[in-house]
Amino acid sequence: MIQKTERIDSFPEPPPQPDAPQPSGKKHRFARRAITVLLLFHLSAIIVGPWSVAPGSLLSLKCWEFFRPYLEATNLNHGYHFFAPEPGPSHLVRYELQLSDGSQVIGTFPDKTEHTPRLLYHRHFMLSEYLNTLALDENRQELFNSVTQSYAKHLLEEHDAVSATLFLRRHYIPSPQDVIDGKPLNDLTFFAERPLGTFNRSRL
Amino acid sequence: MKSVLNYFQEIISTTRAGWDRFWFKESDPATLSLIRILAGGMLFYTHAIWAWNSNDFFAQTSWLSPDAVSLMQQTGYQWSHLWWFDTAGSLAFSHVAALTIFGLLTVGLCTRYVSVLAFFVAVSYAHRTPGALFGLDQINTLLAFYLMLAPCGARYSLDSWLKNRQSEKPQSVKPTISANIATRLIQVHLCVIYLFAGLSKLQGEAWWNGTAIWGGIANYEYQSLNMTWLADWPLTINALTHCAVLWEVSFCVLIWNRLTRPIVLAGAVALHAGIALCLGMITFGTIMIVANMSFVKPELVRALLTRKQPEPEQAESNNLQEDNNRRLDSSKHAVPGQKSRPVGPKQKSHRGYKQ
Repeated sequence: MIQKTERIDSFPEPPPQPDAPQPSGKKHRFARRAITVLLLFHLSAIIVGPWSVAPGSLLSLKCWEFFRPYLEATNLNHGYHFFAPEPGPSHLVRYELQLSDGSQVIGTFPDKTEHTPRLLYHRHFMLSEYLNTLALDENRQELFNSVTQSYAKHLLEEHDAVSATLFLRRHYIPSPQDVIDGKPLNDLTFFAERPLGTFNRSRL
Repeated sequence: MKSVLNYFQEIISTTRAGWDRFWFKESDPATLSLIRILAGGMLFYTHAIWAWNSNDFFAQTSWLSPDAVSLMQQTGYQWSHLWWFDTAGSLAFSHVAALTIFGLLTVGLCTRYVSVLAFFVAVSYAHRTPGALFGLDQINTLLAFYLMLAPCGARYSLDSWLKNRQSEKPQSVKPTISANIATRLIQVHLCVIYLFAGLSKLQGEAWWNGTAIWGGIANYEYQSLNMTWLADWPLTINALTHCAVLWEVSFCVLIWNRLTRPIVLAGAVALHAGIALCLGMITFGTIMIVANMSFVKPELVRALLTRKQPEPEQAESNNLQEDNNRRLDSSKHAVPGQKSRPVGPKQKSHRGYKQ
């Protein structure tokens, strides 16, 4: 019995809990406070990014203006609205190029057969989707025209063409009943087009 | 009045203690090191595709001309070093430098420096091609941002291999606060992403009437695996749609609970593997799964990736225990001739006690 008591008394202090913050001096306390301020700033910024996506409140927009330099410089300025508010039709750009020898090249981007690997296809898909986003926004018509011209210029250079006529193509999503009825997903009845204009190489 | 004051004082003190516990705990960098390898590999692949198609995306006559991009980025905060590289030769140099940086990050050589460079290069490329970006690029730069804050090359890297090779004894990897902060930031950022992804879906009718998933699988441009046979299974489409929203909205709560975390992470793998396989976004699906790995405990990562070799710290502790056993053997209570018992898990738990 006596031996047991002695052994218990000789036990040292238990080690600190692994979850407990380490004891710190003045310097450490200052460092922690500074890091806390930076963390609060950063966390506020990454919440304000998606919070201020349209339709945003006046308050969210004011916060966005404050955090905008930081979020844009670090490329953390995203809404994360994946497939929201709902998955809609996809958009493509169809082009007709007139070459100097009189021949014509007709194509579309994105193109699953031309743009491989899949990541490259997706890059081109985002380019056509971006054009549609601009087309829908009346406040960004100057940018819409500039981007359309940029696409046309690239196609003219790539194919050494004289002129390019572009169309924004909307591909509507078939209903389950359409599929049950045997219609393929790329049936022509699911497409609609909007002309974007004809661009001459000499004028661009 | 006093009890009200006490109530608020308690809120402040518990919040403060919780904040410190959450952010300022030391953590092993094993999980971050694994994320470094996978995210570094993805950054390398992403930029290899950019480089392979340099004319289409970075030349003066690229899809997005410098004039169009400058009109998009009027605030001037979206900097890019690529504006200084306007010839084919200089662009090739930039791509080779970028790929070298991402390659070094992946294998973990000079990780402290290349992790910082990797973030700046990834952001710089993203700022040059704003109209061609999607979720993959968002997560790429997000992970690069947090990896540069922590010692992500401490494990599974050439740095650690060289460090061990140069010294006689194997070097121990110390848990650090910065590793914990970086891991926590990835975790919290993921919560923000899923919360807003879920909330934004609640604005759409298709996510309420249960048909939204059909909009994804019947989209010809996205489709990589034909799942349109689900047209005959409307209730399954409804269930998948509702589960996706419920999972996204609840992620930020259920992921912190020890019991629900495995289910939530299994949901993450199912959702992102589905996106990768059915919607053709293999890169995006993969990088989201990589980001979700931040919730895997470093101990588990080490158990899976490290050969059964005790850490130096642990080896020292084992030696100490063996010494104690030997001492016990030689004491009057010891049975003569009995060998020291092997170090079991129960004895290991006493590590740290001073003798």
